Amino acid sequence: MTTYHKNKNSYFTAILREGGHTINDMTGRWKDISSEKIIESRTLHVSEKVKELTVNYGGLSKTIEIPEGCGVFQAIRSAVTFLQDGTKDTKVKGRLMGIVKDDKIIEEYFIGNDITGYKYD
Amino acid sequence: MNPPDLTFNLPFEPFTPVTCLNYKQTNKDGSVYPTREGEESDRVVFRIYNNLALNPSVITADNIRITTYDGIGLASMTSGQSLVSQQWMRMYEQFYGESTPLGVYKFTTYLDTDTAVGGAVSRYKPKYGSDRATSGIRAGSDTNGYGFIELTSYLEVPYGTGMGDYNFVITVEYDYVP
Repeated sequence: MTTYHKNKNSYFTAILREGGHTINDMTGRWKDISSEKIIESRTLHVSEKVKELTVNYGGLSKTIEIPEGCGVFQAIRSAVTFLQDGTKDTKVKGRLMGIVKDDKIIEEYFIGNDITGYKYD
Repeated sequence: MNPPDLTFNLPFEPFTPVTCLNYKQTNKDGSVYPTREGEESDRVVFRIYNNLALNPSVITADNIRITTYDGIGLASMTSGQSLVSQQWMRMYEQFYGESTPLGVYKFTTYLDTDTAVGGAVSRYKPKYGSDRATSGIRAGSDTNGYGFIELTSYLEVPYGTGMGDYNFVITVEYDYVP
């Protein structure tokens, strides 16, 4: 039996188009309902099966509805810093989510505590 | 599934972890000096591996971006510090590939664009990931080989820098889907 771990501070909740079933980090994996695509030179895990996606991170929450004919992606964003003493520090910076249509990103959100204010590129 | 496990390693067997990168300058007579202002340091080559330890259930690191921040340690990238000034590092991808415990290797040489990095704005995005098809480094846990990218880096120290030791940290940002 596969067990899944739900982090109470970082998780997604997706409502599927078919049957209106809900899936989250506790009941499944995003990879199980998505496929890997290269869009705008980025690797995104896009699902065509979701009609509504909510992402929670650190007390923040964002819900998006996905129009017919569009896909949705989400992922965790992290960073590792290599220090002079040979150790490394890994931090989760937040979660990103967005909508794609015709192999283009038409909406994107970042939910996290990173306030550097830069665009992805 | 476990998050990506990125490490800095030397580019040759046994791929020892890098503890500290030093950027110096070698003269024609072979003597090594600090890098002079207005000149370039020697090239320093290193690899970024994902899951070189071959642990089970480690996830691919997608969309790799690399940059540097001034100073020592994590404080170098917090709001307690000024904007990044040491945008002296240049780097480019020169090699990528994957291995498996069974000894099947796939390596490819590729010279990417020489890019200046520093801070949140000037980040280097390698052209190819470990499998060439994506911009990530695969982990060897989901039936593929554990991957790496190999980078050449050097400092281009501007005029007027002055003498002294300058410290910076290297940060690799990435996305992943459990």
